Amino acid sequence: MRGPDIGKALHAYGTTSIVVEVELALAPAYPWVEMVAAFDEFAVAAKVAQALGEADGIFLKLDSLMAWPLPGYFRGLEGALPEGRHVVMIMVARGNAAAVHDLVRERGGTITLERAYPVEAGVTPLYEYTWNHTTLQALKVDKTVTYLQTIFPLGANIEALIASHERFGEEVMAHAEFQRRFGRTNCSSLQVVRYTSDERLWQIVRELETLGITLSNPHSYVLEDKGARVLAADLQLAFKREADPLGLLNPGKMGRWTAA
Amino acid sequence: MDGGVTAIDWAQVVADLAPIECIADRALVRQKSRDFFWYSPVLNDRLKGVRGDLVVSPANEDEVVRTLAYCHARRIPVTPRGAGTGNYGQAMPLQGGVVLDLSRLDRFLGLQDGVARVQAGLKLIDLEAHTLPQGWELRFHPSTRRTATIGGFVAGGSGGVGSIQFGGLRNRGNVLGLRLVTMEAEPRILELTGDAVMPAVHAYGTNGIITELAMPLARAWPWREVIVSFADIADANAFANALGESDAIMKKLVSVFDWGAAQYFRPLLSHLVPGRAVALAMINDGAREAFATLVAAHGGKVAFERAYGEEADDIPPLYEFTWNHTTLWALKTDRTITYLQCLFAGADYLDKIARTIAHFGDETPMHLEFTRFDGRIAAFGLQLVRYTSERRLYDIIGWLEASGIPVADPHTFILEDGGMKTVDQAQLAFKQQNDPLGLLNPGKMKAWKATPCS
Repeated sequence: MRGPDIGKALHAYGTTSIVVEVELALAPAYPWVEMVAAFDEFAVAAKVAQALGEADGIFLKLDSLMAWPLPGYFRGLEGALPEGRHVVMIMVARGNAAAVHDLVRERGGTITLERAYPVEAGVTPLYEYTWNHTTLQALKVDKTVTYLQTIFPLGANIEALIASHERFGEEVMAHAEFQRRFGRTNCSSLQVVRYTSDERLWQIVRELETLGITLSNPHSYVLEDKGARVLAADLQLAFKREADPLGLLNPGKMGRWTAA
Repeated sequence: MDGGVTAIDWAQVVADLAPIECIADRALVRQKSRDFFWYSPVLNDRLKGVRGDLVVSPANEDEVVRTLAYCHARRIPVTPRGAGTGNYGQAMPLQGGVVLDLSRLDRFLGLQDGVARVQAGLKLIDLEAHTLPQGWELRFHPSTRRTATIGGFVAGGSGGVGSIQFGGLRNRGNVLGLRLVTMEAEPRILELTGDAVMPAVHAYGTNGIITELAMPLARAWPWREVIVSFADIADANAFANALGESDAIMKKLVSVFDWGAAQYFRPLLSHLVPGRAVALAMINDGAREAFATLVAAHGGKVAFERAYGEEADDIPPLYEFTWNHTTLWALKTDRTITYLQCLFAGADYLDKIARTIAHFGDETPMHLEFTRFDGRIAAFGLQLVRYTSERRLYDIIGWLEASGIPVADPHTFILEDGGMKTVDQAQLAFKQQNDPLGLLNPGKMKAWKATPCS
């Protein structure tokens, strides 16, 4: 399979066929630097994370935002995560570390960690506190937390992020991963939630939706529950009919599958 | 107009500066006093007679310092120059005096962690000859890559081939360090890093002489050059925007021309169909299939492609048809043509382009360079202009600005008027510190009010 056909098997949980070989595009490696920037105000930290993403002259590999008290769960970064402060975790091309300093200083933040990547043996790389590792790091300390996965409106993501932080405070600890979407900087969020009940969790989800933040449900194993994936779902369902007519591959995951 | 400085015995200056290399020959001095200002009929009228009195070509920074101290003591204006490929008269010595040719400061000093440290007079092509074997290239370069110097680019340029990934020189992080010599009785040598470089970037050398630079590089990709044609420029623009927004396709160049502009690309004509709009692109080789899918989705036809660096049919690198080279191709055929520089940005930028094309038609054949601007895709318009009069030219500029399309006027040698039309206080303050007598490239910085020279 090549080109758009790849969608038939991409993120299909192996329900449509078994992937045995992959041809993957690589990027030439840069010498990276890991940095942590800390801020008193969540809104300032969020705007810095967005500004970094939009800074065309600053070449990044990682731009992650975590609201306090989330950093308080992390072990192994002592000294870099001051009590009560919101942080941005960054991987930046070594030549652009100075530009990150300038931006962070201009917005009143502090660089609390700066070290070369790859890190020394035995040291946890910064990326292992980001994306889905964030929740894992929190779970190591507190088994009662869980998380959400949400998608933000392009062009209004920062406003939505700040509004959700103000609405839920420490109950829904903001965690956003900044990324390019359609050529622009947006974020998706993997909020860590202080879980009380299923009822409360779904109430939070509904309230987030009123802020324009939509769920890509991590509390479901059903493929189609992951948000705006309708086109892929159609393609994958049609392909499964051809390639797995008896529905034997990873059964139960494709919600719209019905045995012929 | 003769050189503007009188009552100076230039033979004596040559003798005093020895062994620093000087050129006093009138014809050579005139030749080395010129840049590409003649792109503009307005500037051509104003600058065609301008020349310096003496070209001084220091071989190292010590000789730069000696030259500046000497000229300061005698109140001789000094206008720095790289290869003279600018087209707004950046390097034109308005008040005569010394033309400081920096092209002999051409050493490559080192490459570490993706940062090149170089002397200002090093040509871009020679800089990359040092870095490409190690897998690094300039983040972006002007279309004059084969002739321009790095110092000239940073002092007089703004962006170019690669800006579709990295933006421009004024974006934080794209110039990391500058070494600068001041114009004082005892010139100081300043080492600027971080945001402190900004007042000297695109300042035409009015507030210090750049002798060394630290430039961040990009990892070199195997690039592919492609020409795609479209029935209509609107399709080409939609394609270019979609390509710009395709995060998984690496781009170095995305340029669009309507036929009115592309008709002048003589070496490409056997591959072009009259009447069709054209997009020129440089993409990473690994993205060929994704690119082809995008071309098909927008109704384009691939007219030509090759690996970047490969010779074919005597066609120069495609970037030599883009940015400021486009106008040059038109001028080779029609000396009456000139051009504009404007910015189509914002959520409705494709509409702004369409309105401009509809309003001016073939009076301003469209040429667009797609770029990243403040984290989004935008396009610089370097449309050709079928020039009739200065008055009409400024009517066109007036219409664009009234339509929310800022113009960086390429028909002025005044620093501020060619840019944002506001006084850059940091740039001005930096000149007051570094060139208190106003001897560096005099006449270019509008905000400078002091008596230029005695």
